[in-house]
Order: sequence, then structure tokens, then C-alpha cells
Amino acid sequence: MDLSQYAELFLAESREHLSACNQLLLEWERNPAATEPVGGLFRAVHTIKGMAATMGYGRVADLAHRMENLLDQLRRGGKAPTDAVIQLLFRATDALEKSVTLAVAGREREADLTAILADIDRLGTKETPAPPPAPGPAPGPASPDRRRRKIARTNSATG
Amino acid sequence: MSHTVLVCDDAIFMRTMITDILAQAGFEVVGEAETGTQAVEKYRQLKPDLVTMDIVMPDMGGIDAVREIVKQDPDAKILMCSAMGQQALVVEAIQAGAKDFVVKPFQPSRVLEAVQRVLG
Repeated sequence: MDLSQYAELFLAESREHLSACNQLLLEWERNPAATEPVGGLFRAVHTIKGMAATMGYGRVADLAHRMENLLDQLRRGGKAPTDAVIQLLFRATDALEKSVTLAVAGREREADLTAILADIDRLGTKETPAPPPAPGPAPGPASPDRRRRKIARTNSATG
Repeated sequence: MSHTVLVCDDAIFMRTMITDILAQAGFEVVGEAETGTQAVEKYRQLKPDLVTMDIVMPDMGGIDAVREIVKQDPDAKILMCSAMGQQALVVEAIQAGAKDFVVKPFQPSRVLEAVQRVLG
């Protein structure tokens, strides 16, 4: 079966899901107590994983799989994500987007995912086992200065 | 007469690929659904000989869609399309009434073998 005929479709649909991921992450960052974003993120990353595996893009599928596992833990844990979790998921989404583009261009080997995969695994270990939900009041409101966070996120891309 | 198929998956990429595999083997894909709710509605309208069903879909997932379809038609022939690592969900889907499963990434020969098993 000639898979190259599906590459454009893979790229277009992956980009749609990646864009949805960024929107959902912004939503989750604004309202960490919301439960819908994590479900949507899980489905989007799961779909990218299935498509990438079908195309034979192993690195893309592997990154999506690790993100999916982390999101599944977060979903089951049912607690509001920390800022570190949100920032890691933003970085992972960026890395996934880059690796999708490289894979379709036939340059998947150039996608260096070592650091992001290690960070996902480290955080995943911390998140397991998920503690029972806190009986106290809901977590405090999100920082009002989201723009500052986004800038900080961009600046910390090298760190 | 060729067998009719309803293809259910939230990814147009997967629907296109499954449709191509089945069409090349002489099956007639009569409908597509991208959510579980759509799958149930289209099954009622189209009464296909076979359904391919993704597990993770928005709105209503594939397993709940299997339950609803089997409630309408206990003889429905449904083939689950799962990702790797979803064994527990596949078992649940079979218990809900699905006849067999294939695991992504798809190999056309595996899909067609499973389809033949389901159609008996």
C-alpha cells in the first residue's frame, strides 16, 4: 500500500488537532479546575498517535503515545494541573508539531525528542499514583497575567 | 452483490484509508460516521452488512455506540479498530457485542482477514 498518498491528509488533520491542543491548553491554563480540556487533549493526541503509527512515523507516534499516557494519568487523577504540567504540555505540543512537519518532509530523524520525552517521563512518575482529590476548596484562581506566562514559556524554550 | 460497510472513525485520515482498503477489495462503503452518535444514527438509516468502529471518538465513544447498535440489531456485525495498548477496551467492546477487532496501524491484509471473519 502506497502510504505517501495519505501524507497530505495526515499533515492537514494533525495540524487541526495540534491547533485544538493549543486552544485546549490555553483553556485549561485559564481554568485548571475544568475537566473537559484533558479529555479533548487526550482524544486529539490519541488520534495523532494512530495516524502517525499508520504512516510509519515512529518518533511522532512515540511522542504522542507518551503524551497520551500522561494525559490519561491526569484525567484519571482528576486534580487540577500545576503550572509545570501545563507548560510541559505546551512544549510537548510544540515538539509534536515540529516532528509531524519533519516526518511528512521525510526528515523525521532530525526530530530530537530526547529532552521532551525525558521531561514527560519524569513528570509522569511524579503524577503516579494520583493522590485522592483534596477535600478542601477548589484551587485558587489562575494567575491573571497570562501574557507574562506565555512570554516566560517562550523564553524558557532553551532551558 | 458486494457487502455494504459503515466506517466510523473521528479521523478523516483513518476513514479514507479504511474506505480505500475495503473499496479495493470490492466492498461498498455506504456511509461514514465521525462520532458514536452518528454511527448509531447511520446504522439505523443504512443497515450495512458490516460496521468498522473506532474506540476513542468525541460525543459518544465506540463502545457505547456498539451497545446502542446491538440493542437495535442483535445480529449487527461490528469490527472494532483499536490502537495498541487498548486491550481492556477491546475486551469491553467484544462483551458489548462487537464481533472482532483489528489493531492500528492497519495492514490491509489484516483488515480484510478480520472483515471476512466477521462476515463469516
